[in-house]
Amino acid sequence: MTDTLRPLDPYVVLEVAASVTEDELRAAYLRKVREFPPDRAPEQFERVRDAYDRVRSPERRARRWIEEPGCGCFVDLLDELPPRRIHTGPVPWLEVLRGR
Amino acid sequence: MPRRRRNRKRAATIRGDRRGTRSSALAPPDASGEATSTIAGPPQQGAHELEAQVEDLLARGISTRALAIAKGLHRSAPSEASRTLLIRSYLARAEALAAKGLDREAIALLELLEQNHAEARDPVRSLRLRFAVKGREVDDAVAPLADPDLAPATREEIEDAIRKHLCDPSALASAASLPENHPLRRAAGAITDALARVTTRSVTDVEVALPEVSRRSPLAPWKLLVRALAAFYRCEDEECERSLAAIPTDSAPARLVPELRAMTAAVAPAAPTRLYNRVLGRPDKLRSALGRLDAAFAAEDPFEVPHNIEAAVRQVRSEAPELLERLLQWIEIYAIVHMFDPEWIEHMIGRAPKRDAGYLRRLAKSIEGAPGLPHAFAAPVWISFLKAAVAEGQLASEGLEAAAIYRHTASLLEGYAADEIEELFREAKDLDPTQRSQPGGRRSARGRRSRGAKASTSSTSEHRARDPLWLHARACEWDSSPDGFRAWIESARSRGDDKQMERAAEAWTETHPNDPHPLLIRMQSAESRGALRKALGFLEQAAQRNPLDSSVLHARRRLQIKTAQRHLAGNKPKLLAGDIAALEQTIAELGSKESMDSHLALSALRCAHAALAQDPAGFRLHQDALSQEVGDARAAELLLRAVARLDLRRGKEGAEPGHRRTRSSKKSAQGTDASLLDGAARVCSLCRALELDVEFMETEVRSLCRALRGTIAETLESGALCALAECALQGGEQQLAYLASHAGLARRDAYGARFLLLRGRSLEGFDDERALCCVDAVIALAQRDRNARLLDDAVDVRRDLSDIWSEGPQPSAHPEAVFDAELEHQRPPQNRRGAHPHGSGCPCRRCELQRGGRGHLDLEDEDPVEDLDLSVSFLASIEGAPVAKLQGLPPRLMRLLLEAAMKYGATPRHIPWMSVVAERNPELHAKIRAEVAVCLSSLAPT
Repeated sequence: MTDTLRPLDPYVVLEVAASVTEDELRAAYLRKVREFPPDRAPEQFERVRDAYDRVRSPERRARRWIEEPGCGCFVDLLDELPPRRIHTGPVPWLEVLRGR
Repeated sequence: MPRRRRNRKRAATIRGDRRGTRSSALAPPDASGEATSTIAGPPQQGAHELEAQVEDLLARGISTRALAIAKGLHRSAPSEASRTLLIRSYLARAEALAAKGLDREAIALLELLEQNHAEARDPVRSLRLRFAVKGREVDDAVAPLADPDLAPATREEIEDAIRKHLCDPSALASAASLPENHPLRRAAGAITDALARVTTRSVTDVEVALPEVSRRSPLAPWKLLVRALAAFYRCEDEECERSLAAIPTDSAPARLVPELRAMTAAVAPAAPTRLYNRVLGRPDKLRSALGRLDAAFAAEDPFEVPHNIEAAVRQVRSEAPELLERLLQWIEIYAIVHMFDPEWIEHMIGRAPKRDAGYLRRLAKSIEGAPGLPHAFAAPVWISFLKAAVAEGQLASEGLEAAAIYRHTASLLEGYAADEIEELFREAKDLDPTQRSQPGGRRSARGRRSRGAKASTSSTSEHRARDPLWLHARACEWDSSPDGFRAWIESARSRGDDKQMERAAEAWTETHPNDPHPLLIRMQSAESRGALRKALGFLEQAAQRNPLDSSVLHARRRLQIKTAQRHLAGNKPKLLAGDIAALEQTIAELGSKESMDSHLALSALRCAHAALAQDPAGFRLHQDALSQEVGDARAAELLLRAVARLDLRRGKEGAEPGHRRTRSSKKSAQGTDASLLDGAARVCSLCRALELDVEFMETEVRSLCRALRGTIAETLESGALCALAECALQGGEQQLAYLASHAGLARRDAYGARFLLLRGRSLEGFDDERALCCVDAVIALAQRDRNARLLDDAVDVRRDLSDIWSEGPQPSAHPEAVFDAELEHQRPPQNRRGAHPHGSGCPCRRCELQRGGRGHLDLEDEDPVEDLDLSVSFLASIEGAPVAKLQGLPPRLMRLLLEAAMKYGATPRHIPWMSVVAERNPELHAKIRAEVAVCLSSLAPT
């Protein structure tokens, strides 16, 4: 699985705290859907929908508490890193052009 | 030093060939092309061959050797062609130097070339312009553009060089040779700003519109690059790709196109570039550090673990500090589950991790998944999790989620007695860092104070949380789904707590007044207590709610049979006649819903009624009818014993003994093993449905075993064969169950896993290890086939076979292999464990001791000798053994051995040498020996 396709913590994907209310959760989901509409960013939309699906109701949240695994391998920790596009400034990009 | 000499020296230095062509390369080309040094190529080769060789080397980008050969060729046979080739070789060499970043050296080489070969002036100028634009001498290169009367060809040449080779627009933006308001300089400045903006924060296209850069500008490709970068950072990969596709392939920014495409690709490249790693933050070093930590924990290597913990923590701190807290949490959880000393680990990582709800949930799940720990150890951690999650506001204290956690916790505690649960909670305190007492220090004192303050309020609820039934009751208050009530009732049933069953069913009825099922459960409960009148009352209530529910009708039929049995036992023929009539009506109502031979039970009751009413003719008539219906007289007897047991016993003792026995033996003689097997299977199916016990006679068992060993069973339905095996197990006839399971296994049909479970149950007490193997295989098959009922049954059997300290179910990786292996074993095991024959050659310790030997130590054959030597030899026998293999030891002893393993074992999961324990911790050693002695003395003789 690539970095961009790994299932992340649903609250991280939706950018809300775990203690959020259901209304706030839904609002966050709708905000994210507007940010990543399915026709323009299908991968991100899929990720957002999956995240919301996992936490949208108390039953699903309960299932998540009980069924999601404990600690996997330490390497799995890297899955928790959100996909990053780091703003590095222009220098690294220009270095490639300069052939360095 | 004059500039020319300096440049010559520099060029000589750069052109040096490590492989011995230094002299030829060093020699500057003179006007005639003569040189004194030898050429690198073979002298006897023809000019054309050498020319072709040079062309080939140039095409392959090997400029050093191409230049050496071209120079030699031009010296030995100067011509216009050789001169052209030489100039091309020099230019190629200069380009190669520039490509390595040695721009000044390249320019020096070009100066030398220009001095010696006037024909090279134009290409040299072009190349110098290119180098100047690419490097820091943009100022000089673009200076002619300030002249408004510049020849169009020259302007075009400069702009083309800018388009193709400008690597840093900021150099052009600051070119002092152009006026500040020059369009090119202004465009370069705008691009520099835009580039800085898009690479430092997320921007919109409007923010980087760059109206200063026209489509015809030599900087137009840069505008496209800026747009691509802006889209890339906004994660609009399609937009990014559109901009990348528009960048001309020969322009300078085109060099970033493959990099950006790799970054937006779904699959990471095999060899990511530096820029790729930097922008996407691919933590390769961190990944390998974490991988090494995984390996160290997997090997449980006490030397590698600390070293790798330090390395991983260091790497996370530098590369992904946002992961640090999670890493520390995982390290502590790993330490707990792998039985490393958590305090030692905490000391090593520098501080305790944040023990929040997420941490506790992971800890609980990790304990559940740890092969060496009972799952029930996770129960107190789940309770701690719930408290933490409520405190953090992640879930409501009395909601569906809390109910689910309570039910899960209760399920972990199922099968344990109250005192065992107390013991578990005591032991599990060491696993839960939030519960663990912390020795010494300010923090510990503060912890004690805070704990003391809360103790009075929380102790009662904490204590209650150890009771699975209390947990179920609370869960049903918050989540009133029927499944929750069902789980509560099942839990109460498994604990034999009728009051709780009643309470659960009452609560269920309160919340779901129209559901007949809780009333049926209450009916069953009353029925099991013998309160048939009350049971019928519940049945009527259930029937009022849903009279057509088949479960109500089935329950009524069963209850009517039970009532009839009672009247039969009470010698009340009139009441029995009424029961029979009512049963006839119920069976008629069931009609097409009837799925079993209820009429057989009816016939048996009629037969019993005739016997009770002292009606020999009627008895004969009904018995014959029953025999014909069942198909075998002995099977009919089996049914009569099950349905009308008391009456027949009385008959045997008094009223109609001779008559009945004569007829029965006559019929028995007439029946065959095949008809008995067929009839018995039908009777067993019926009795299973009616919850009646089947009692087999020894002669019947012999006949049935004989029939099952042959091929007669092949015609039997698998369901009926299953019922026969179940009834045999219920009646304690394990050999009969074993053979029935074998006949079932041989069919390899959909009942295969069920027969394998029956095989496992039939082995219980004979070969427990094999029994466990069968049950684990069934668990694997049930999980694979998603057969929840079979899985529940198998887990129940597994729980009965194992005990508190044993590992949880270990689903077999190859259940089919177990299936095949069991199919090979047709002959049932003969010797039950504990009924050891102790023959003359018996190798067990008891027999060896009786023969005068010292005897080996086997826990199963252990003698209850109150001899300390025995405890010493027991301890010697387990030294070095894996902790997980020591199943069945008393909890207190197991706890001491775990402590010794953690502190002094070769790994924390292996029992240490007792001499080491005695030397390092005499107190612990004495405790272990004393506990072993106590355990041995409490063992009953076997």
